[in-house]
This record gives sequence, C-alpha cells and structure tokens, in this order.
Amino acid sequence: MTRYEAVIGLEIHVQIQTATKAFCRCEGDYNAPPNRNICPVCTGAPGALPVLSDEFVARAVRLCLALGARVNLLSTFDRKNYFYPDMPKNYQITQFFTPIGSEGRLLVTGADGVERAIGIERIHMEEDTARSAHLGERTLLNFNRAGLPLIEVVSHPDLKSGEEAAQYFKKIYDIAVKYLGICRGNMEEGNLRCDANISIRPAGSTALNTKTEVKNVNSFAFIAKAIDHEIERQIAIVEAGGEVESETRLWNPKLKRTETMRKKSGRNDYRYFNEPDLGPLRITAEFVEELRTTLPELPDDKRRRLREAYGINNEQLDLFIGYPAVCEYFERASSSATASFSTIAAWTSGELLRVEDKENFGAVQTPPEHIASLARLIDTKKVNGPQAKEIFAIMRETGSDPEEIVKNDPRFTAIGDDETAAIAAAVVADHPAETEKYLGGRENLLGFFVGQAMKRAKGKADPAKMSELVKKELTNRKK
Amino acid sequence: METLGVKDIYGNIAAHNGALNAYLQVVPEERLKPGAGPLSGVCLGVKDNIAVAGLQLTCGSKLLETYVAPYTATVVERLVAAGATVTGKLNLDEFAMGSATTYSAYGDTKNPWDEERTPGGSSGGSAAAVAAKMCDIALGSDTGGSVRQPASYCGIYGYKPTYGTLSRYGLTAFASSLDQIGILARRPGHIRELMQVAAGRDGRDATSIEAPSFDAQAFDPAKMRIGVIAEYEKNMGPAVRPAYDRCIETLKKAGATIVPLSFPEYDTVISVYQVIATAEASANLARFDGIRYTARAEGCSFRETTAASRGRWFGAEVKRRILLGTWVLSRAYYDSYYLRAAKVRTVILNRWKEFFGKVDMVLTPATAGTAFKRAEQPDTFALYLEDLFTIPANLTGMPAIAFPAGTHDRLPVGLQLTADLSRDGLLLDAAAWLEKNVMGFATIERGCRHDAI
Ligand SMILES: [Zn+2]
Repeated sequence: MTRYEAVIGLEIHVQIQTATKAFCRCEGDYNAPPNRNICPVCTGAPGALPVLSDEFVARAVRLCLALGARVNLLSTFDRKNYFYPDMPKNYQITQFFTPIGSEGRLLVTGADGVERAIGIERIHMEEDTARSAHLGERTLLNFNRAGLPLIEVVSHPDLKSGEEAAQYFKKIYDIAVKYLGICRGNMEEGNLRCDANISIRPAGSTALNTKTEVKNVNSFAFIAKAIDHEIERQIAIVEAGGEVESETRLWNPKLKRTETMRKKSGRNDYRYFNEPDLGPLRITAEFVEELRTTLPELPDDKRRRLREAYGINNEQLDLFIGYPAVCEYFERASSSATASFSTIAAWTSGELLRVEDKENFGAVQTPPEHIASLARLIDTKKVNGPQAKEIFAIMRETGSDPEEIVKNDPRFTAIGDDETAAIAAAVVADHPAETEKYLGGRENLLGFFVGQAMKRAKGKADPAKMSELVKKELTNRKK
Repeated sequence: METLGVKDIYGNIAAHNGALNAYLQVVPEERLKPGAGPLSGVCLGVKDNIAVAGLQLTCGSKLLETYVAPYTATVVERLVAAGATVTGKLNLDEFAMGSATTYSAYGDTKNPWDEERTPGGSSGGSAAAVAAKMCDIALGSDTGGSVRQPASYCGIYGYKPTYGTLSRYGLTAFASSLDQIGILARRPGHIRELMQVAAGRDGRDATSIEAPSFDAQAFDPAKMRIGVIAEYEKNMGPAVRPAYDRCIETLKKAGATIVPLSFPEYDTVISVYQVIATAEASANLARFDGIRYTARAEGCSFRETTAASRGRWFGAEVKRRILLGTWVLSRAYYDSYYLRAAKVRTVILNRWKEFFGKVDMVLTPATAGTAFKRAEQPDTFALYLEDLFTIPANLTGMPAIAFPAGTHDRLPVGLQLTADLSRDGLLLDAAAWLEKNVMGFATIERGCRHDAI
C-alpha cells in the first residue's frame, strides 16, 4: 500500500484594528449600526480616492517583523479586479506585485516532536469588503466593514498535517492578538479568517498535485479536523483510482466533512495592475528599525528562553506562550524568589488560574511576590500541601504575605523531623495488630499508619516525610 | 477677475443653451448663493463628471441619469470658499471618453462659432459655455486633451496643470494616472486667479502635490528658448499652419530662440495612451454595476443584473474602451500590451525631460485642424488621432495650455505650449504675453458668432 503525505498551505486574513479604515478616515468600528461608518471613499462613490492610513502601515511592518519576514522598503498597491456585490468598487486594493513583507517563518512541532520552520511566502496589505446579509429574496449590504484594513499572510506549502496547521494558525493568532495587539481576535466576527490549500502525494515525492481549497477553517476547534478529513478524502479518491478535482470546499461542522462549494473552471483572471491612485509605498530603513524596537519578545524566542531559564514542563510552556500576561506574572514572581521555578510555575498555572481568568489576567489581585513567598514556604517544607492551599485562600482574602500569615498563625508552624519521627514511632507502637498484618505482607496498610500519624501531628508534619518515617519504623520492627 | 455678471450670464444661458446644449443642469438664478472672497461674483460652470453636492453627476451617461453627488470635489470646494458660485453642470462625452461631445447620452453640444460644428470633447460643454459667455470660467477634465482640444475648437484658453497640482478628489475617474481637472477660460489671467485658490496638496488625493507659485512674473521672450517638434510640424493640417508660423515669427521677433527638437516616439503616443487609459478605465468604471447606482436592469442574479445594466446603459464608445482595457490587462496579454505601454510611457517621459534640458517651453499645434462638422465626424480610429498633440502632456504629467492663435475660415485655431513639471506659472505668463502679442481678446470676442447676438 502506498503511503501518502499531505502538502498544506494556509492563507490567513488578519483584520487589523486601527482607529480608521485603511484608505479613508471613517472609524474602524464595524459593529456600529449598519452603514454608519461610511463615506464616499469606502462606498466607492464616483470621484472618491483612497489615502493610505499610516497606522495601518506601521502595524503591517510590525507584523512582518514579528513573523521574521523581510520588510520591503518599496511595495506596490495593486487593483484586483472582480465583480462581487460586497465590493464597492468591483476591484479590491491589495498588494500583488510587491507585498510589504516577504519570506518569513514560524516554528511548529511535528508529530515526531521535532521543531520545523514553516515558510511564509508573503504578507500583504489590503482592504476588506462590505458585509452582505440575506433577507428573504433580498440582499442587504452593510458598508461599515468595507475598507477595513486586512493583512493576508500566505504560507509556503510546508505544513504536513491538520495538527501542524492548527499550531501555525494559533501562533499567528497569538502574535497578532496577544503579542502585538493589532487584531481584536474575535473569530465569530471574522477578525481572523483562514483558508487551507491541500493536496496529497506519495510520501517522499516532490510532486505538487491538484489541490483543493478549504474555505473558512478559522476555528481552533475544527481546523485540524477539517484539514485531516480533506486529506483522507483525497487519499480515498486516489486509492480508488480517481483524480482529485480542483475546487473550493467548505467544512460542515455538523456532518464533520468538507463539501463542494464551487468547482474551479480554469484560473480566475484578476487583471492586476498598479493602483494609480496610490502609487508605490516607500518606507525607510530607519522607520522599520524604529518599529523593531517596539516589538515584544516573540513566541519562538520566548519558548526557547523560558525552557532554558526555568526548565519548566511543556504544558506550562504552552500556557505561558499563549498567555503573555500570565507569563509575565510568573517571571516577576521568579525574579524575586529564592523558591524553585517549578513550584512557582505550578502554583501560577495551577491554583492561581483556578481563581483568575487567564483570558483577562491584567488586573490580578495577588502580587507575584506573594506567590513567590508561598512557594518558598513550600520548598523549605515549612508548610505542607494542604496548609499551602489554606494559606493561599487566606492570602487571597486578606491580601497578606504568606510569610506573615504563617508567622501569625500557630496552626502553620510545622513540626520538625525529630518530632515527626517520634509520632511515627508512637503510632506504630500503638497498633501492634496492624503492624503484624503489615509485616505479613499487607503493605497497603501504610496509608492507615500515615493517616493516624498525620492526625496526631494535627497536619503540621510533611506527609512525605511522615510516610518515609512510618515506613522506616515498620521495617525496623521486622528485625 | 472682471466678471460678466449673473444677469448677463443667465440671459445668455436662456438665449443660447437651448441651441448649444452646453449645460445639462442649470442652478436656478434665484438659488445662487453669492460668495465672498477673491473670486466673489465669478460664475463657475462645472463639467458633469465633477462632484458638487446636491447637483446631478451624470458623467454624460444614462447609467447615472438620476444620481446626485453626495459630496463636493476639493477643487470646487476651494473655489466656492473663495467666493465663486456654481451655475450648473456641463455636457461631456460619456465618462469623458470622446473628442466631440457626440458620445453624450444627453445630446451633442454645438460649437458657438458654428452650430453645425463640434465644440470638441470631451469637455465640449465647458468650452461652449465659456465661449458663449454662459459662465465666467469652467472646469473640465483632461485625460488625453479633453480640455485643450475643445478650448482650441472654441477659441478660448484650455489649461491642464502639472499632474497632481489640482486635486482629483471628486473627479469621476476615467484614467487615474492621466486625469487632471483643467480650466477653460476666455483670458489666461482668469486661469491664474483660479489656480491661486484651487491648486495644491489635498489630504484626500494621495497623488496631489504642492503647488508652484501662480503669481504673475515678468515674461521676457528674449530669454526664452522655444522648442518646436519636427514630427509634429509634418502632421499639422493646412488650417493650422499659418497661425503656427505667425506665432513663431512673433516670438522670434521678440527675441526668442527657436530650437528644433525631434520626437521620434511621437507615433506611439496614441497606442500607449489607448492601452493605459482603457486599462485604467476598465477598473474605474467597474463600480457602475447597476446595483449601487440608479439605473438597474433586473436580472436573476448579481451577475445577470450587472451584465444587463452595463449592457443597456453604457454607450457604445464606453463599452468599446472597457472591452479593450479588460483585454489588455488579461493575463495572456498583460506583458505585450499593458506592461509594454507602461515602458514606452517612461521612454516618452524621458524624451520630454530631455527637451526641457534644452528649452523652456515646447510649441505645438493643439489640434491638427479646426472644429469639424458634427455630421462629418471621423470614424472611431481617426477620432482617436485627434489627441496626437495633446497626449504627451498626459503621459508625462507636464503642464500644457492651449491658446487661440488665429482663425481659419472663420473658425478658431489653437496652439499649445507645454512646459516642464511644475513650471505652470511660466505657461500662464507666456499665455498672457501671447494674448497681447499674437491674438487679442477682442479678436476672439468678435469671432464667436454667439457673442454678437
Ligand atoms: Zn469611509
């Protein structure tokens, strides 16, 4: 049987959040009452002309830099000609001949656990279309969205699976929404849209076979499923001796399959030519360098650094990469602490996120120093697990530093190793029958002894230490 | 500016517009809002492809028959702010595509010098209205000569500024990289006064530029080097030749140096222009799809409605150019037509830049002959040749002015001066000198038959 591999490229449209639209000074709020934020320019009135928004350019350059792309100091605006009811001018202003950004890259982790760079062919600026709504036989047009700034990020066909595509899409989402803050990131409202081009070939081959385009796979919930389904569909066709047809398909989330949207008859001819109303866009190297200094640390670099600096696990890494604010909190806690990074990471990602919303982590009420101080108490065994949880709750309630809480509350003064050993010995001595059974092979009785001992210690002993000492005491009796 | 006065202008409109069909829409006299400022009292006619809020904007097309402009063009806005008053909208070839105003969906405009003849085009309504004193001054648009050729046929001045000097915001685009709003006037001084107010950078037009000075400078022909182009002299008709020779004689006598130039690419200008202009037009006119504008031929789908509306309401010339433009941009022909035309355009620009290393201005005819009879309109391709002398200024973006230089058979003859980029002031200085020394104001006034009425 032939083994196949998939060839996948993604085209991602990122709607850029700016004060104004791309080519006019209308407000960029598409949720205003229908056709409120419109003017002659974005409705394509005769005689109106586009004027490029500087803010849009700056944001596009920052996205290029964040995606490791080359920023072209001279790029072109071009007209893409096609008729569509939601296109005010029946052409779209885009960047076809020379985009603002070329040849970027992002890392994904393959099924084998190895990181691979996915090439980004081009990053270009363009304008959004109006939005149509169907009302019975009628189509209503809302031009609030017409002319909003969009950036399209086109990958090379370097992705190999639905899972990799999902990772890549998520990473672009994180960069645009969470790291650069240039996109609202509302998927239901189409702030990020993703189309996938998919073909298959025998594993190891370099052929590029007929591809299908799966539209609107812009959901983290189903992007991987939709792509994997399409790969399997194509394999089934080829296995049955058929040929994959060039077409545009849509994912049906109910039936969990892709369906034909339209067949592609020949290539569309968009008759691109330079937009004479704008002329080429020229920016300076200084402008680009200035914007580079405004970039935050980006996911790939951050992951490498966190892994090396803190040695935390992958799950925690994913969390910190996906939620920069949580990560910043963790790093602040770590910088002030003499506690171990793993304890701080565990408490930040665990207990703290059970009570704080990671999506909205800005105004967290617990200072990172308090988590650090709690971690220190745990690391130095001054408190045990259940006590730490109690202290955490008190800390949340009172806003006090855990060190203070412990100092002022005798319940949290842990007993020392000698006292722990004495309790262990006493408990074993008090239960000769159980001791005999234990020594006879009923090793699960250990829990019973530890439980009794902890009760006697009023919870102030370290359970692990207690367990160790009880076991030692019992083993000693064997002799 | 010495103005004609609202009363006389409305008298002339009442007397002549029925015959000439220059105005498509006249603002009723009682609704005129007199303005204050340097242009106070100036009655401004506006070509009907330039937006004036509240007035119609038909572009000479059936497709926009009931469309009313929702905003005002920057140039009009600035002129009105300086006191000018808009008297109405002037006839044109549909979407400014034509050279005789015969392609208007609202009937021909007639030449005030001879109603059997064309006023030229596409700003024929503007030229006729100015010549027949139905306004003080008019705005036109010039993509390949659409201001200068009708000005020349009607015995007035027609000026196309350096590309970008007048904002295009509000001018319905025909070919965006060639279009400029131009001015038609009876006196060159009027043009200067308008430019002092209207020119300059506009935040709503990314291609607009800072304006050069339009203050009058002393014009000394003895310091001028005037270029003449051998290839153009060969293509000049017999009606134009005497006026051309006389103009050169006058300049020479005044001490100007006449410098012969060669423009070997002259015979490519029509093709280059037709490819670029139609390509841009095919996109610019795509918005008129029968969905957003008034006339809609009903079809079952968007595609059908669009095709039916465009098929029904666009005129034959507009369709011809859209088809041509669509074709030259198509993937299979882009390189051999559009891209090649763009390259030749650069060659032509470099040639003219080279000219202005040697001379201050270039003198050519504005048209090959005088206004032809409307009944004897040349065929489509012969009509395209009308623009031979005027197109280079559009391809290069350079300023040019057509000026009356004589008459032939009781019809005006126009010549043209072209200058280097942003040397518009020099052109107007020269035109003022020519007005005094080549063809006086009074002579033109007598020639225009309608003026005698
Ligand atoms: Zn707008």
